[in-house]
Amino acid sequence: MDKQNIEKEVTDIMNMLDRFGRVEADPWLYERIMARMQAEKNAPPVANPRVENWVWGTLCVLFVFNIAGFWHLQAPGLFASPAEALVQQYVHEMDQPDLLQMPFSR
Amino acid sequence: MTDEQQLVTALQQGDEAAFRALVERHSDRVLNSCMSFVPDLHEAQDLTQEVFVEVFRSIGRFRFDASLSTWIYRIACNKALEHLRKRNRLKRRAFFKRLIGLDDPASLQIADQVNHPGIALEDKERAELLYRHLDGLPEQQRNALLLHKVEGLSHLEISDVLQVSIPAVEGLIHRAKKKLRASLSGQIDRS
Repeated sequence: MDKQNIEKEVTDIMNMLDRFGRVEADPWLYERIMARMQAEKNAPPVANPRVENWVWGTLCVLFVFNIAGFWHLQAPGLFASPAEALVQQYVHEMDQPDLLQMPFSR
Repeated sequence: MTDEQQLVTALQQGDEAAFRALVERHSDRVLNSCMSFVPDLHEAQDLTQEVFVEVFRSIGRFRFDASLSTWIYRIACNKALEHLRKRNRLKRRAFFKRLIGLDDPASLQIADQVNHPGIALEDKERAELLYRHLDGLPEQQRNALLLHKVEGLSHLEISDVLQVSIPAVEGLIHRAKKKLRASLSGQIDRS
């Protein structure tokens, strides 16, 4: 399709927005609305989805922190700054007798 | 006291006859504005009911800052957008479920089909294409364009409904048309 035809087709499609026919509403709309409001009044209360999202969100955050904490215990220094990591590594090495067998300590 | 003020006062006092009068007066406009956002008759009828339920519940907060019809339009727009966001969420969920091999029966109900009695059958395919591309526009641009082109609202009325200035409405409509034209051209050129 050449450029001119594409332009014409696009214009035709966009002009459809001006030509949508009007639709008449349901003559029983008022009765249906009243029935709906009555049904909603009688329906048992449902959980508020927003509250539910907050609960799930909080649980997810707690879970992630839990995993991160566990990981941190397993591998100290993982989340520490370089200086802290160096100190922790030193303390860790001091706890290991075989690591103390270093050339300068002999 | 004008006719509209009397109607609102009666509604705020919980007068059912006034509510019936309001529904009869505005039902066609609300249905058609819902249909311009959600081009499916059944979904739009359902939304129309929701709009009037919301009007009934929040009429106590109506303070004559805008006309009653503008206020109802605003509720209709918000309800339609809420519905579209929910539908898009369902579509995304169905897409991910299909990716991991789970069939989702809900995905069958959210096909982008146009079921608008005001659109001729031979135009249905083009209308579906148009709505797919309208869905790609930013919300405010789509709202302004639909209210202007389908509902025939003036820029002043749109500025009242969307609560933005008139130059902003003009900008939104201009950008929406430009973007829509570009995306439709790209699609037609590819096919």
